[in-house]
Amino acid sequence: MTEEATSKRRWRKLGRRQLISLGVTAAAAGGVGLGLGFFGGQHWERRQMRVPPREQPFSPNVFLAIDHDGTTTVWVTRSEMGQGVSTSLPMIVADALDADWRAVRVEQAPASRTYGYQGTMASASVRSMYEELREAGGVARAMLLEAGATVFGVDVAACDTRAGGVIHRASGRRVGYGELAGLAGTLEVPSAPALRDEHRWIGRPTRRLDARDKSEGRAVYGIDVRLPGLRYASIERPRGIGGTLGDVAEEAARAVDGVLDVVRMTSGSVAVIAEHTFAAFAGRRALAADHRAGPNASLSSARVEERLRDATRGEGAEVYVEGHVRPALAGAARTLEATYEVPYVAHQCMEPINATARFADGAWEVWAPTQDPMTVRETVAELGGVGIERCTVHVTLLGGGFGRRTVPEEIRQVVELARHTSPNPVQLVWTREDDVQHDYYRCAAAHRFEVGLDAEGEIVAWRDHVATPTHGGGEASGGRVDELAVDGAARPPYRFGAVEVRWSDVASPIPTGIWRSVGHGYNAFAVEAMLDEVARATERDPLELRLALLPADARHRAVLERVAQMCDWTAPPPEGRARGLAVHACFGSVCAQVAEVSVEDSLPRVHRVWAAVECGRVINPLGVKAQILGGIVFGLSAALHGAIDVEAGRVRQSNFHDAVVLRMDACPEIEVEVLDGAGEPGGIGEVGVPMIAPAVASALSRLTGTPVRKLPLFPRA
Amino acid sequence: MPRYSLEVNGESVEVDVAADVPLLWVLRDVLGLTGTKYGCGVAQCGACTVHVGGVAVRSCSLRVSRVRAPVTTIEGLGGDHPLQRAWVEHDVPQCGYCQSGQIMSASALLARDPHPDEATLRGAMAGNLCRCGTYPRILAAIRSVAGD
Ligand code: FES
Ligand code: FES
Repeated sequence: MTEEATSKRRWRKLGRRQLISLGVTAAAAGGVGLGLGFFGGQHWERRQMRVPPREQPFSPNVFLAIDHDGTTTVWVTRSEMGQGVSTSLPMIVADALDADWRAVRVEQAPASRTYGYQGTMASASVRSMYEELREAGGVARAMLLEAGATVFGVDVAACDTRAGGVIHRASGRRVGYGELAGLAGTLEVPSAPALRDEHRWIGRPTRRLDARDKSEGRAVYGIDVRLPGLRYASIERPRGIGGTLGDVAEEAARAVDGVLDVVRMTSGSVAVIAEHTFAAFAGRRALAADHRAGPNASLSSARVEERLRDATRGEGAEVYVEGHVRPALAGAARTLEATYEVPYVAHQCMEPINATARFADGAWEVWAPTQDPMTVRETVAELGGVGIERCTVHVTLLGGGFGRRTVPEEIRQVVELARHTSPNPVQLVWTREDDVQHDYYRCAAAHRFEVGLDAEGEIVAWRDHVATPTHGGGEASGGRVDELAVDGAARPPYRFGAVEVRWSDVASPIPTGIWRSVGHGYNAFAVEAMLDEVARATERDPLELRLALLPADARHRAVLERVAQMCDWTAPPPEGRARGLAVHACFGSVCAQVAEVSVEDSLPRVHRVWAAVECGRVINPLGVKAQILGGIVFGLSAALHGAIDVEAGRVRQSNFHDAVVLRMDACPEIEVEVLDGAGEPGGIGEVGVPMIAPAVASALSRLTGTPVRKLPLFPRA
Repeated sequence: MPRYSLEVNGESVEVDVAADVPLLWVLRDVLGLTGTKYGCGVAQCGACTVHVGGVAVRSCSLRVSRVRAPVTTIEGLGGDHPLQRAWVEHDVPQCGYCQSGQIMSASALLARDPHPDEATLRGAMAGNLCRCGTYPRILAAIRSVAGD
């Protein structure tokens, strides 16, 4: 059934009287809201629908349903890419519902407006869903309470809930949610239910619900979708950025065992469609395609990096100004100048890029490991030439996302391929080489600092000029500041006296995109490592310096003090090792890290890392720890090895042998502590990433006596 | 087309594919055993690790024509393997994509060396990448089974 039909049916069932009592008119028919109900206007309309249609007797809103046997299904509307939303989001619902956790099972929501925004990015899943899911669970609980009171023949006030059942306080009688589901399903949905203050699940260390499936090979990622008559495809695309394909040996490819078809795509790329993935790969090789450089034959990332360095000396656009930095610098007793640089970096999700599509009977069905289901659905509708209601998008598990899976390029490709294979479905798989060479990279960046110190060594002026490529690879912005590019540098948390932050962009056709922690990653590296330079130059303890510079109410203080305790900061590190410290706030949270580093065979080795994080109200402490730990490994991998080089218009790296990532043998021991936070939940998926590079760089600088201002720290492969 | 007889997870199967098709794709695309993953195709990431004759091998780099011993995949490990239980206990997986390979490498290691020292353990697992950074929990889970 289409959403619209489901919606209409539900409308009839609700009836106009109830809609008005909820403060909503028939917004679906273009009416005007009379006021805000529980979810407010359209929100409410949307949350009343069921997509897909549901069998359960009790489903008061789109996020949950309870069956007669008590099974409580929660629809997760964010993508599970390892960050644990398929555990943390149900925990919020279960908490407000007072559910029996063992009865909770999870469904991944398909792309649908009924669920509201579904993008998984900016570490915002818990932050953006918290109130809504609490209300969703709270509504259900209120209705179950009412049903329970009816069954007991008592007043609602005489009842309470306990782990999946309603109890009558005086008699101790209990009736399970499952037994109440039928009755609760006939009740009116309350507009403003009271929410419990007591938390049974929020804040409790809870193991992932998907750990078993993922340990037994049963979890289904996009690349694991198997359908009757499925074809497998791979696309030979121009090797270079903006390149073209000349002649291909189409007959040779067709002769490869298992190859079914060879298709010239509208982009000029050539797809091989086969009976299995390997035949598609082998068919591509047999094409022996003539790769021609396009207009970017001389494009080089080294040249872009040089232009970025130059740009930091230019005029640039104003990002932030406090006081008058020029006179403050002129009057300083001493000025420190330094240029910091980071290269382009790839995402390298473990699951290679893929998508599956079927076009049959005038309707589209797509299976995608995507961070942005709504954009996928719109893309399918647009390119598929049908109304959006005839496009179903199933969100599979993601074998990593890190920002890469916000881009629907493979969706556009698979839609084109599915027209050729229709009515058979087709699965498009990028090779690892395709992934490394055709990513939307974390941009390269440069910072130039001028820091003025007075006679006592106090910072009186902080000037930071950031330069990045223009986002998306287009023309330079002409002075309009790209907030994402300067995130993490724009407003230093410290009291620096006069501050000026400027930004320049450099146009380049190298494709860029968002990469876990976005601007915070490279900007916090530069800012925090520069601050360590100041500490070294003035012979101050980097912890003490930060505490002296931070305002009294800064959230940074508590995590700094905690991490210092964890690592016993004042005690000297073991012989031959040095420690570096960094702190940074991003995505509504703040994290401090200390890295203990040595140099072996003139290469850095990170032995231990300590991290303290404060992220407001914690939903799942185990999940928070795992994300910080994973963020540290991800950030460390990039700090040590991450670099993508473009030479003669082509990405030089191709697979894990030259696009090196951190392995088990080099993984440090990592300790993470989660501080009690008072406020609303903060983000967590990206929060652990930015601090590790400056912490390691500062430790290395101390160890070697030479400032480390450039990533990666290992020689480029 | 050539026909190959294999023993996979205790069952005999026959597959009709070209001799150069790697075991990985026979498992995934012909037999539908998708627990074994593709990550790199060039023996660099370990996502495709299975046991052949009890030894951990990278199935992306082993042609079907050269498979001469029984094959065990993650699906064949049974779910009750001590390492699988330890993985759940230690809440190891994040995205989980690498974990089949991690468990297959670890189980082959412990089968031949039930109490590996730290260097052996890290060395044996260094061929299995995890982009989510679950390495510390993987180590803890293996240590819990290896009994130290
Ligand atoms: S896919 Fe076989 S080692 Fe990576
Ligand atoms: S759990 Fe995601 S790659 Fe290992």
